[in-house]
Amino acid sequence: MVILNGIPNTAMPPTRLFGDELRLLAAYVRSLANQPREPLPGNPALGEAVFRGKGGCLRCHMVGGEGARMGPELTRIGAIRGAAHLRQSILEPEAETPNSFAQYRIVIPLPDNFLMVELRTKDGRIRGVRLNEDPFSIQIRGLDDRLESFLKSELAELIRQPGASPMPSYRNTLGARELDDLISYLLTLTEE
Amino acid sequence: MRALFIAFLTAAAGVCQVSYDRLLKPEQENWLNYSRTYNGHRYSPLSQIHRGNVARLRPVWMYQSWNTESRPRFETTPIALEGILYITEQPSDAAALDARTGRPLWKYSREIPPDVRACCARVNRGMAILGDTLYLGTLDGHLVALDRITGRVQWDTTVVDYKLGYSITVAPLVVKDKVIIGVAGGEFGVRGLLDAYDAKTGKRVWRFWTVPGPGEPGHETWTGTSWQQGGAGTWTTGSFDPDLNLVYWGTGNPGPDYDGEVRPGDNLYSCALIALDADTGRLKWHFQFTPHDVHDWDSNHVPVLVDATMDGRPRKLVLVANRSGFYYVLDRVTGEFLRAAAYSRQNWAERIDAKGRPVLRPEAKPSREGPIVYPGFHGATNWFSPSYSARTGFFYVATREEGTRFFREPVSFRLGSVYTGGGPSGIPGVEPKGSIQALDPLTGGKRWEFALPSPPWGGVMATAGGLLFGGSTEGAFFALDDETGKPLWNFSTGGWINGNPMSFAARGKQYVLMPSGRVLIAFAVE
Repeated sequence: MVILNGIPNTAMPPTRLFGDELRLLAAYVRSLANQPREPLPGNPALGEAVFRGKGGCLRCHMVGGEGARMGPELTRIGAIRGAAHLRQSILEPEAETPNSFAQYRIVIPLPDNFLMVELRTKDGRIRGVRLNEDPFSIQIRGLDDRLESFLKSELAELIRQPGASPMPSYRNTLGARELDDLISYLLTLTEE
Repeated sequence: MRALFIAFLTAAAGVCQVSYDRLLKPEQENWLNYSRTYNGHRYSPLSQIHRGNVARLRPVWMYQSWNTESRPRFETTPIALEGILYITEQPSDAAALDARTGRPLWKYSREIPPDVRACCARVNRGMAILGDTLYLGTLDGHLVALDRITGRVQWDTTVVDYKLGYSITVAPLVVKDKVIIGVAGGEFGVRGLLDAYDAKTGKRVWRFWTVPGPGEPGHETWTGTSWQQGGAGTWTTGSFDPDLNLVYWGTGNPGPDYDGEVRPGDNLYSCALIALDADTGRLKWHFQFTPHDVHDWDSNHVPVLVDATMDGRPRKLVLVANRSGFYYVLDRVTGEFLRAAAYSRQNWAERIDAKGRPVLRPEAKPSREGPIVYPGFHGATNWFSPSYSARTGFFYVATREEGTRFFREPVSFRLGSVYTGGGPSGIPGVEPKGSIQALDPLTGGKRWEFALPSPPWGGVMATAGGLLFGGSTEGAFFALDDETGKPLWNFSTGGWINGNPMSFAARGKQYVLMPSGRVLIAFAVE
């Protein structure tokens, strides 16, 4: 049923598989529970140092109540994401920004997709994540964590940036070893 | 003295009674039909609220529905008569409200059996009125006559057996001495119909099957026994031309929705507009917008009747902005196809040919792979009302832009079960949107557009004040300049707008009404 319906309010969409295909997929997913844990590609202790130091990850993410709010909380990231996905997210943050339109909903009241917006007001430019929008106003969380609301009539410009992420790519920042260590640290974050 | 008193009573009764003549020419301050007038314009001739003062429009009362429906959808269009509003509520309740305060004067509550199936929430769109009687269609398939003074049941007649998958959500239409009412159930394998009942007695006068049976013309457009679950519901109120004595009514999707393989043929009269003789229910003409529909594009729209000169010739027209994404102009005397134009994003038809038939793109057909099709299964518009303003000469429509992946999955018919033969899913990463559009009524060309950040479920109403009222899914109720689309006023209702605006006047003051969430809100300039 989870495969058919997805998990509401999460990134898990419903699928449309029927009969044998659905049974085979369900059997495969059950078999995954018996798989050995993914081996860590590097050293988690060194990875934590990258996380807190050179990576500057806590400037945007939170682990166990420490850190900032802009990015997704990572306290349990090791329980819900594997090494390949984490590697892609660190190297190409915009490869897969969260969206929830895989499912067909009867009502689509915003907020919905993760959407970066850039607003031009008379005081300058503000970039942030859209929290809500109607035809006449927009509410955002700025990159500085400020909650703000604007009437569209007050804006000189409203630029939508679908697929954009505020996270930089670490391709040219971290070496191969550092990247493996960082992923290893993230995979150990499984606590509730 | 006694004679005087009786004379006064008689006069008072004479004023209150809603005669057929009053339905033909409703007073400016009253709203006596679903679309106010028989021509389906949803236009208010009141101009007390206008461009110059609409900025001062304020809520003056709210009526909270106490229903416990898990899917709140307040779809009612109230009847407004001399300072009293007659509304319906979910699932099939009715109430009379004082129009200046929203205070209820009586309520009618109906217990709906738990096994009644409604595809899309347990809703009701309003009542009709004649004399001192209100007419209410109920989810369990009945037509009920209520005394407008007390809410007491005058008669209660069974239209259809809900156990066969039928339900009734539509606001009836009174024509002369008859009450015309349609049915829903296109997702449960029903056979569609449109009925007329004697307004006094509740006795059925005529029935038109929207899926013809054996021996009837059109039956050959079905294969085998597929007609028995042919669908073609009649769940949105139609229009009426008193000069031609024709009732115009839209019909819904054929069943099963997405699996056309079990019903080869055009599947008449699904996804069509039918023109029936008001006295006999006989079919005068039909026009099928989407032959053999496989995308759930019900043609359940309010048909808009307009007289205009077209290509140098005066014409009686009927205008339909269809769920399929195309806008149609037909001759309403003969049903002749005159013009069609896409008014929203579409990728299922190459074009509409000279006879009005779509030239299909085969890749848009539902399959196991699920092709991406525009418009989506909720269509480029839906049941909510368009509006026509003789003031501007524009046709207004709330438009949805939301693609769907269409999956086909063969299904066997089981009484009382969903019979759709597949289903829709969304398109990852693509954010749906919408707009309010003003169209040239003769060409469907866009005159202006007001953008909405998500697809709407609310209709529109133009007024003599130079305004167009509409609502958004996020709950913004707004007034636009009817000539330019420029926003002039808005109010955040905090609920999902899933209904149509209307307007009336009480004691000389104009009000605008919009349902939102579980609340009916009245606005006036204070």
